Amino acid sequence: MRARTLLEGVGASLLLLFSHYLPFFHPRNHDLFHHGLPVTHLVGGLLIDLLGVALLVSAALMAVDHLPANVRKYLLALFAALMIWKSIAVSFTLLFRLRLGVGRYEHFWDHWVVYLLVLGCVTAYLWPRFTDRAVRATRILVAAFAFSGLWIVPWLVVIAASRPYVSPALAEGNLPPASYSPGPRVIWVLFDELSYDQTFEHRAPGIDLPNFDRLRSMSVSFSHVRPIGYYTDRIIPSLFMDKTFTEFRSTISGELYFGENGKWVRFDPNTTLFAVAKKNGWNPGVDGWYNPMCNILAPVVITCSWSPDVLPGEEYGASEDRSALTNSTAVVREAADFATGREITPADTHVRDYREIMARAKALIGNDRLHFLYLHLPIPHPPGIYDRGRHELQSHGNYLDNLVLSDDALSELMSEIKASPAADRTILIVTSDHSWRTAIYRDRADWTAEEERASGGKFDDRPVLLVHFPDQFKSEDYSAPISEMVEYDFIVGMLDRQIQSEHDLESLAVKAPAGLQARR
Amino acid sequence: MIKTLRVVDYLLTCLLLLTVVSALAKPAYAYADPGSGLFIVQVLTTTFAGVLFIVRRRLRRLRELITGAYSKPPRKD
Repeated sequence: MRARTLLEGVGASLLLLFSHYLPFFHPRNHDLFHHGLPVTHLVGGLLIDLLGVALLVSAALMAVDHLPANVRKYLLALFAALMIWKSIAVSFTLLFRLRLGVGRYEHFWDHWVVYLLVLGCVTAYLWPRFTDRAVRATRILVAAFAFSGLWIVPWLVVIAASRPYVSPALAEGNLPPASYSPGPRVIWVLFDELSYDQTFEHRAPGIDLPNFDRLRSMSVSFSHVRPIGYYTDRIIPSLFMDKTFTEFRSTISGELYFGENGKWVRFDPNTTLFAVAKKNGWNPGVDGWYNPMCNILAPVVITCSWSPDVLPGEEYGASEDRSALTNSTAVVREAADFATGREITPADTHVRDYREIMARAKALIGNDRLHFLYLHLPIPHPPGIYDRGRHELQSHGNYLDNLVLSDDALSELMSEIKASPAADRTILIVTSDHSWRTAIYRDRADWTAEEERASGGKFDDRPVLLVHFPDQFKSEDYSAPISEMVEYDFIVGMLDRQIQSEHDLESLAVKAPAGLQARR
Repeated sequence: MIKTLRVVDYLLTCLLLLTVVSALAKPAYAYADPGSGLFIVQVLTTTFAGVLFIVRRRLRRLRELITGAYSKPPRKD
């Protein structure tokens, strides 16, 4: 085999599998962090795929060289068209990551492959000399791209060899006997991306949220909460630690660092709310989404579960629990689904996450041994996954559909709480990390006219904060601006048994001790 | 040869400007990362190096052509 042909095979392989290894090259390892380690078998499968595709393309190019010139001309034109299409698609992916406003077109090129292949054949027929030059130039560039493999492949090997610095998930159901006499229970439910404005103030026409209305009518509510950030993965750890982080990075072994006053500070679970809970004799339990709670909170929680981000191939059956060889076959299923238009979409994954998290959340609520629960729901965060007319999960929809889903989820969780043995001593906190970030979604292809009308194209940054105490039947509304960080004070107050009723909270929120006042 | 050096100088300046622009990227409200710029620079530079490697024979011929032209003995009038 000629070295040049082999280079072309490697270059084509790196180009075709670009989106599969891109997540491993985030400069701060965000994708890896949101997935969790180890990824040895997943990356192993990817390396087998890279090698397999490289050999396959090289062999195909060699075989083409032995075909009659007339046939070779068309086949090479098809190869060049495929490489050009993939290069354009890859460029859009990179431009999207660089925030260059191509969100609406990020996947625009994905289904243009057929047109480009046809164009390649037509060009080969009409302008053979031009096609010949274009094919030669494309082959040189593809072979040149193979040199990127000199740093891509070694880095993938390093990632495959990485091990988490703490043991990952704690298994639910392996709880110690209750060490705490029956007392108050705190359940903190966080709805990701829930907007105060859309939920309570400027609800879109036709959107009914009876469960949020009912809960608010018997809760302490705050209508002007100032968010402490914009991104979930920074806000939530900030709330856990009473510090405002704007940036974070992870090592390839999953150690977490946050940017604080220009310095990187290592995340210490012993300084979180959960450590306070454990120290005070509460049994903390967590069910999360997106943020790798179980990795970072393992030492200070009793039970933990989370739905991580998926890496390429996992939607098609690849898994760390399977061998690298088995994982390498996922790409075949993916290609087959792409060709037949049956791809697994982010909405499909979102539906699965929602179902898993709700099932686990209900199990945790029903477990009376857990006294402090943190439940992070992936809704109403887009993509839309609900038919609000039929109240059924589906693989499409918009933010407003998800808002109705959030209301239905609240109803289900409230029913579980009412049915639990600790119902009459449960304090329920319903919050959101941030509001509906229209600036992100307006740029995307699935943004709807209804969402544009509902939001008015504006971003109302107020998240939700409701606190319901046992035996509370009337509402208390506070409209003064207050930082989202008060959630930390409220929860620590509850864990210290200083806040046990709406009156205690009122005295803290209204009379505003020095610390709380400073947050306003 | 001087022309070749100028081209290399120009390319290096462009690369430097691109790096500076990437470093000056401001936070924007989107799920995206300006740090990906480094990845793009890495891909482009290695691909560029790859192109130079693949067409090295033609470059050598070009160099010989240029240096040959310079080393030509002056015409005797």
